[in-house]
Amino acid sequence: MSTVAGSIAALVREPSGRPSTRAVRFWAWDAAVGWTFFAALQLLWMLVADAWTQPLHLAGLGLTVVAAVVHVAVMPRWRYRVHRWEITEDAIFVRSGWFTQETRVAPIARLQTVDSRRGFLMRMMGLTSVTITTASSAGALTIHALDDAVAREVVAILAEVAQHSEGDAT
Amino acid sequence: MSAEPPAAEPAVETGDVHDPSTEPWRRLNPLMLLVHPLRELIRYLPVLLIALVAGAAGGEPWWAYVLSGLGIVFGILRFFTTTYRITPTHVQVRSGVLNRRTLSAPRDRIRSVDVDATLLHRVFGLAIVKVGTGASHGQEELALNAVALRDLPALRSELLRLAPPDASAGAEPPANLSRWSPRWVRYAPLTLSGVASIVAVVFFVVQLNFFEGGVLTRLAVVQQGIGWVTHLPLLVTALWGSIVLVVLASAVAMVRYALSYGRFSIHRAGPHTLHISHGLLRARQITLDETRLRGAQLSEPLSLRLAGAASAHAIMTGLGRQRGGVALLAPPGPREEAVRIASVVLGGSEPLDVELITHGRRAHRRRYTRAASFAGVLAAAALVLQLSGIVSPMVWWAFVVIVPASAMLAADRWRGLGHALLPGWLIARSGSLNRKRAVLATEGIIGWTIRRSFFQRRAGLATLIATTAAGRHRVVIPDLPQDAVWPIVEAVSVRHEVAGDAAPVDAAGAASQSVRADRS
Repeated sequence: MSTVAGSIAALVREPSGRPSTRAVRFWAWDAAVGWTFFAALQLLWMLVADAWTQPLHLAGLGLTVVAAVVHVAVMPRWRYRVHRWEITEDAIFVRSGWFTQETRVAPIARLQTVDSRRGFLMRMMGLTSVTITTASSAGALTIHALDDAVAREVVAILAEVAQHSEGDAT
Repeated sequence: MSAEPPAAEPAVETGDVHDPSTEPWRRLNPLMLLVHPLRELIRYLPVLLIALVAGAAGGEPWWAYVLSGLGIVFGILRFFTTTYRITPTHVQVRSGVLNRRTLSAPRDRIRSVDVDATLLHRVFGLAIVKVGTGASHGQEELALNAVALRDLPALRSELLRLAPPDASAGAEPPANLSRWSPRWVRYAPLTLSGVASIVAVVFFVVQLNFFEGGVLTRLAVVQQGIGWVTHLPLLVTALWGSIVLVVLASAVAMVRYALSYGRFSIHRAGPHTLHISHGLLRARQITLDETRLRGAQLSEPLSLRLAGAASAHAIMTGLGRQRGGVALLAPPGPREEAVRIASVVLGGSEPLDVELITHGRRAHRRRYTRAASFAGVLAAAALVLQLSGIVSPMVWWAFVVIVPASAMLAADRWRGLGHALLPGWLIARSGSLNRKRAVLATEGIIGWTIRRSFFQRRAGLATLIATTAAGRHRVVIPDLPQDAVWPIVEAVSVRHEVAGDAAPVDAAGAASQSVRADRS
């Protein structure tokens, strides 16, 4: 069965699942680590070029700090407001992003693999991301930053469903 | 998806498959003992040429000879290390001189068989057979390089499990859909492939010169040429330069066009099989299983469109990465011809000439705001460059061209933007410089992405992407009014229940209830 039963319109606009509340902290740390790395590279460049007082270098560093502070302050909360997911009997819905937002829909009959991924930071905070792939390389859905226990349940349910699905439209 | 034959195996396997079959491993055609080394030599020809030039300019290029020698040895080893077999269930190829690997494809997953013969292969009466399977991404191509041309028909029908070709029954000629006309070559300069080739060659030469420490500038011919050009007045140089460039690019494009699309022909080889062949020197034959057809695509880049030309491709599953999941149906040629062939393949011309639904006032305005912001970014860059003294204020004259050009582009992009939903088909058209009209079978759609950038949200627009396993794996409908998005998704993906059991029941629905809430 490739199609979705019933009306999805009402459901899709506001799927009910949300990421873990710790996701905000995770995204903030994740972004902070990235920006720190970037700033460290800039400092290294200044060290190598011996350019501690050059205005262009200092302006670049200042710009990085401002962008980092704004990004770390704004992005995680915004993301948390946007992120939603829901698995119904016949379809999976995921909404993600912040500045650019994406809603993805895939009929459960089309699902091929279910992967869960936990990076180092995520393990420290007990978070897991679940990625669901379909036969289309453009159609993978990722449910970001779930509580570990919830993620395990999601994977178990989807793995069960995947066994019964027929036809991946290849 | 009732039309879909059930998939027999979940995925194509790679790696060492323990097939119990005792089918013996076969070698490829022994003539490859000549072809492989010759190919390697040809590949190293530029290096050897440089070596000769450099040798003339001083210094013995021993490394070039060592490299070519190694290439020849590896070429010979490649023949002895590559074997294949066709078991009742799988096609397997073992290859690799140092790193051994086995590629294996289940035979019921074979979707297409390509035959590719370079000039060298044709001299020896050989051809490469490429096997396309259902998995179209992240998969290495399974190729038999090479087999004799006379073994081809048998091998192809064995792989595709067709009835073996019967020589006596060949009385009825296959239904030919199209035949190439040499006059189509006149469209070649409009494909801009000549310009691309020239840019590539210039880039290569500059790179070469750089790595070889200015070999070329040391040559007397080049020095004379440079000296001669620098003594001409600037305007004359520019004028002649552009004339020469246009003529050269056109000539290159026409030669390339004739070489790759010459003798193009497409015909129906069986009830569900299309047979496409083209190429003057390098001959390619593609056999497509039409049950894998998921739509078609009409490409009308601005330059071709102005001359009333277009090209068409089939959107299929299982074509592999190499050609981006599309198979050529009609090379750049008269638009009616491209539309006609695509209609025959799709089984109707309606998806290709139906009037499209436009995307409304806000999408219209967005074409112009985007064009304006593009010009704005260019202006900002020009300002910075001018203030820092890198370019002269003359740069602002360029905007006499840039501003009207972007406005015209925006207008044309708006004219191209549209979509339509027919029973069984989703149609999307967009772009100007590279306009494409994609027709996708709704049964091939396996998911949706609705993308809304910050600016799109403010304008109440959304980009709808239908994902599929065929072609480039996505068909994009840009800047759709937000209200139009869900009706399309619903019309395609929602099976409306008969009244009575319309309410979605949660009986089996542990899925929807139990995992919804976050525990933390």
